[in-house]
Amino acid sequence: MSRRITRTPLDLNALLEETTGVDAGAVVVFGGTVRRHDGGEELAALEYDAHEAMAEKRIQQIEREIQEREGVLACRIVHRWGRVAAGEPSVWVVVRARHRPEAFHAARDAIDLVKSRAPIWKEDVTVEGDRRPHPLERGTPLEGS
Amino acid sequence: MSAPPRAGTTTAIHLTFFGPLASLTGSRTRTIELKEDRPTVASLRSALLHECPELKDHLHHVAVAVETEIVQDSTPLEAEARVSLLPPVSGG
Repeated sequence: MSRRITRTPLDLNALLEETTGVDAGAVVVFGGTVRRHDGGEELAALEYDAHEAMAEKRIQQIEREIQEREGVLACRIVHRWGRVAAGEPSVWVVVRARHRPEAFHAARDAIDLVKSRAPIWKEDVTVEGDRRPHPLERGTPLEGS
Repeated sequence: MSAPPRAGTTTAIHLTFFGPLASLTGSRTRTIELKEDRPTVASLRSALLHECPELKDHLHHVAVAVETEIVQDSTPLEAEARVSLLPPVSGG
């Protein structure tokens, strides 16, 4: 099974293949992509930092929590680390469930949990190549698991 | 009841700064000596106010982890512990 956090470009097809199941009536895919413009300024990329081992463990925990829900059959998440160019995906969430309501709900909760629990940070990279950390007050304080 | 600290005893703690903290401190890693032989996470936070004054306004929102687990202020820190300082996250 592939990793949950990786420096290499994300492979959505691998996640879809890993979660294939004949009992699922719905599959929901959420993708986060790097915006070209943020607050009116043009960006070349985002630079992601991560506590690799902790992020891997916490994203696996999120997958397990989501999969334990009634009607959810599979959940897989993968997040980029390092530099991600504008327009490229930074995260994929794949949820398969028996029916669409629980699939949509689970996929939304999964990405929300990644954003609040995974030790991952991003900096803007301007078209001039300058790096600018996101203000700490815009982040979510990490809590113990 | 814990033993009183021995005079002159220090405990080395190896820090890694993640995310914006690395930019704020200008370094990814640093080793600091805590002037206690049985320090806790709270001792580390106090020491950081002096060692890294640039973090003063942010430390209350910074989580502390040993290995892959977030630890509380009362948690003891072993000598040579490898501690991660984790600011508010911004993944996705």
